[in-house]
Amino acid sequence: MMDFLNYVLNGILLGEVYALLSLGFVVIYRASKVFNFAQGELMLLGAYTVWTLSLGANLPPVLVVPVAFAAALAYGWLIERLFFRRLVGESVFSMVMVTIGLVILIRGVVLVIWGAADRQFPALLPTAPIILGDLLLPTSMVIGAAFTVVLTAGLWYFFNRTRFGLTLTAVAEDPYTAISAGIAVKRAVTLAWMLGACIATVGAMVLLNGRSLSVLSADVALAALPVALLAGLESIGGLLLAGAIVGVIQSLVAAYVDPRIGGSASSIVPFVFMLFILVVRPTGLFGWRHIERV
Amino acid sequence: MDASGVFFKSHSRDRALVRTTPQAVALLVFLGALVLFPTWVNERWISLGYAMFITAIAVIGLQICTGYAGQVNLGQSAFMGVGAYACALLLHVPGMPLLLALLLGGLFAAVFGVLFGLTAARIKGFYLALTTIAAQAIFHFLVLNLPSEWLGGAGGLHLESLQFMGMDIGSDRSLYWLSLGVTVVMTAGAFGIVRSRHGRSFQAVRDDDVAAGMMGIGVAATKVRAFLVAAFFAGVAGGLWAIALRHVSVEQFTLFNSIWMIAMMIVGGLGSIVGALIGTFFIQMAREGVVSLGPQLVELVPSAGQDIVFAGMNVLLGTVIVLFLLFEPKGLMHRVAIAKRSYRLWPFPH
Amino acid sequence: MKFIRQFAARAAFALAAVGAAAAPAHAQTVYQIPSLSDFSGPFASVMPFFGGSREAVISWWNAEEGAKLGVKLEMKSFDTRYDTAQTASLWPGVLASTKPIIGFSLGGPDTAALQQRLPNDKVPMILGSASNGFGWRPNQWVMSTRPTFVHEITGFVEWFQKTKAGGTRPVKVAMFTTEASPSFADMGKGVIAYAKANPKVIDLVEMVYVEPQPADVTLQLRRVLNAGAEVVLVPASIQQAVAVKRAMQALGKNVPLMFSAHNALSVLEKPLGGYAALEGDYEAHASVVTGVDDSEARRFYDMLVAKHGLKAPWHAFTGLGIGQALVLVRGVEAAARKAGGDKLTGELLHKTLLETELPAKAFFGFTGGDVDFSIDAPFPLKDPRINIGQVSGGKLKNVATSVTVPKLNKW
Repeated sequence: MMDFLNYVLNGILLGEVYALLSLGFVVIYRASKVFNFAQGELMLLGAYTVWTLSLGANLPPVLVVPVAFAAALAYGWLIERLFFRRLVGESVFSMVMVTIGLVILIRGVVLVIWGAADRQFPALLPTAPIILGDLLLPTSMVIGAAFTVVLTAGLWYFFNRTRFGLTLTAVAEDPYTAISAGIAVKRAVTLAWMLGACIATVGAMVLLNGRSLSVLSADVALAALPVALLAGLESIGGLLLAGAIVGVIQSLVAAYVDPRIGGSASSIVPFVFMLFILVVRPTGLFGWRHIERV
Repeated sequence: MDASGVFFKSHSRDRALVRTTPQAVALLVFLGALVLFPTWVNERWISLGYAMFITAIAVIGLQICTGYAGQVNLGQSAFMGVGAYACALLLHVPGMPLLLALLLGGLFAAVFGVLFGLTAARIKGFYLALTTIAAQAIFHFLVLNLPSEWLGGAGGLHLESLQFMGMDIGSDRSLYWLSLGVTVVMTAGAFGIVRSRHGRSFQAVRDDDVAAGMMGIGVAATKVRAFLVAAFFAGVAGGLWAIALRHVSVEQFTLFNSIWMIAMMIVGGLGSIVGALIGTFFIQMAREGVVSLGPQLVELVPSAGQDIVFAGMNVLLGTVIVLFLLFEPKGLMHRVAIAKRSYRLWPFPH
Repeated sequence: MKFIRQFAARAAFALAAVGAAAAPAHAQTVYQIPSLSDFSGPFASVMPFFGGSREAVISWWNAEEGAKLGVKLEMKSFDTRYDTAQTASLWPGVLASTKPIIGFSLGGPDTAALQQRLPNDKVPMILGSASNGFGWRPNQWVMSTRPTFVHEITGFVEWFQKTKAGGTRPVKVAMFTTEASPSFADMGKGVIAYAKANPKVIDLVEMVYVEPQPADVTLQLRRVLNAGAEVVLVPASIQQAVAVKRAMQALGKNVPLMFSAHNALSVLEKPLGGYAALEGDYEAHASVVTGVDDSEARRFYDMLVAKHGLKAPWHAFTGLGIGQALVLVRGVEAAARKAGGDKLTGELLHKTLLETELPAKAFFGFTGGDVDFSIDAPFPLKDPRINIGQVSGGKLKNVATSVTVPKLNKW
């Protein structure tokens, strides 16, 4: 029983960390209708920056975090400025293809600047787990999950209750109409990308805490994909629930099914589950349903 | 548009794909050059050639599904893998004719594709794109976890040397000619599909599927058909790949490969079969250039270090793709069409 | 008179023939050796170690042995990006431009791409990585200097059972691996099969499958430690090794871990911040343990650094590269001694490698034991040996060399 509870709780925590990564996807999608395939690579940039600041320049953690955030904001701004400013109003497909091109580009840049060797990632959060009797909870994930909840609540409020947040949604719906309504479209899209990059950096700090970092670390974004789709690409609050569901399923399958079949079903069960849900609700659990008119 | 002075007196001539005699001659000369290609280049280009043909077949399938029918498909590499495995398994049956195995491999892949096409009937847009990523993950999992006697498990399947029409086709040249032949057939088939009423249904569904439904087009059936076609083409390409390498394994068919194929399609231009061919050629040549220039650059600038040079070249490739998308999102075919039109209208501006 | 003239003519002819035969000993035949490398893929960061060691060993051999046999080897690198498709399309060009008699292979993708066509192209390749269960087929032309990963792992398990667990009862073992890569998935299958067949030696508590870059494995590790695991095997990826180590530290336990050659202790030292974190852990493989001992291998390495421009540090990947290169040059040497330095072909080299037993001392300790290929497998099947190293007192030391591995059936 204790084991089962452990798996469930750890699954929820892992799921919430995935939700943290998915927040990046959702924020950028919500504000510009672009699905950012390069979210994992943004995480990579943030992670390497944190490494450089912490282990390269040996700054104390108190300084590392704000400087890393500032750097992430800069990356987001730079990417938006260089690539997406020209594409405002173009087909969404082209913009998505640019993000795919960015995947290759950013990986290459990281390889050139930092090289391909595995390196140690600093432990900015405590590594000792929280042990309550038989329950074992990794501290970094607890903090990460708590942070996710707070961030999600904040972003939900921002997007749904503040003026600027609502303008972001308007920009995503139809940039030209938004322009004619006097909304600063470029500023909105820039902000979305800067936010996305920041969230990616936070995700890196939580996920890679104390472990190793290499170019392949970007693949974890793929694991966060089912969470984003399950919640629905526009839903911020829904990510918490979707993250919990995907995390619990993955954890339970890994604990009970994998040893039996001698394989790794836990990596595809989230995808299969997501497929089922999408067939029933084609826009995810909480995604917006669009009315299509002819 | 046709050049000035070209007119037709019968409906079938008006509808023809190859419109004038000079065009027919040019096409034949081009095909002849392709056939004679192996005789005047070195082996590197021959293997590059058939690799390009194989990829082109898969990209054409992708073009029909995504460019013509608007169904984003990020699982094309998985469909290729299914076709490769099916073909390899069939070729283990003694006496199995090569072309039949290829065809059946394509059909198996088509069945796999139809399964994902069925989800397309309900799911749209990005959600569809991302469910096709699930196709990749599921393919990977199934191959590794089904019993090794079925699909070779982690090691993949091996094929011994193969016979085609009584000849051993192990050599690079015969592989080149085989792939060229299959590519020509598949391209002709692709043109046939997109110029038929099925092709028109695809485009109608792409442009506005609700309106298409209202006009009596079976939207769900059309979408499933699009995936079927894409998967069939991918399956044939995968079968050829299995024949060329004589070894299939799960790592040859990854999500990254699917992404590259989409890149080729986009660079060539959405919605054009010739565009798919051009895009494949362009991207493969670019990657080839990176690989070949790398060692020479390293020798020129030894201080840079090998790893930086090669990584830098990948950055260059990614940049090229991105720049392309920024400055010519409609692809190379758009440029070609503009060039053709201005040439035909010359000296008039429009 | 006629007789004397005939005798003189024959004698002159014989002298000329002898002279001609002696001449090639001074002339050198140059052979180009393709070196399949990875400069822009996952192993790009370690390629300098491999490439550098291959070059250095070839330069050493050319000077020492090659000159006597009239053979000069020239290495040419080709970037395969560790990708099957790239290797397959690169290979015909490599064949045509270098006309190789033997070559350096890098890993899984080039084996996959080339296995089927090498028997036709008649070029054997030497692989520095361990073999896999699914590669265990007869008449292979990509020959690995090491046996399969499973041989190396089970060899360690048997040694550990004998020396650390008393030798009378089965030792409790857990292993972490992943399905994401066929090589690593194969490791899992092989060890499970071995455990089933040898319940008196090993009690496999659990085979844990996690992602190659796991977020956190504390829970899984706690599960296996609670089940009594005495040693935990983590032979798959570097990231998994780091994650398991961190989990072990988080739990405050100190059960020893075991790693393979590609995630060896010298490789893990950097991401974990020093050897102190790895105290008590093992590495076991059929390559050299790059420890602080003053061994023959270390002296050979120092010589390469001093005289042949080797810049790579004393590190697991350097050791793998040197071992691979040594097997290649010894193979060429054996063939040249048998048939003459100017008559080498790929087919001859393949035959030589299969027929000759290359003694361990020819490799200065860079391999586990003798290298003796047979037609049944692409690795030394007759009596492969492994080396085991451990970190003690903050330093990596050799603990056991030339340890035998169990005879395994295919799994």
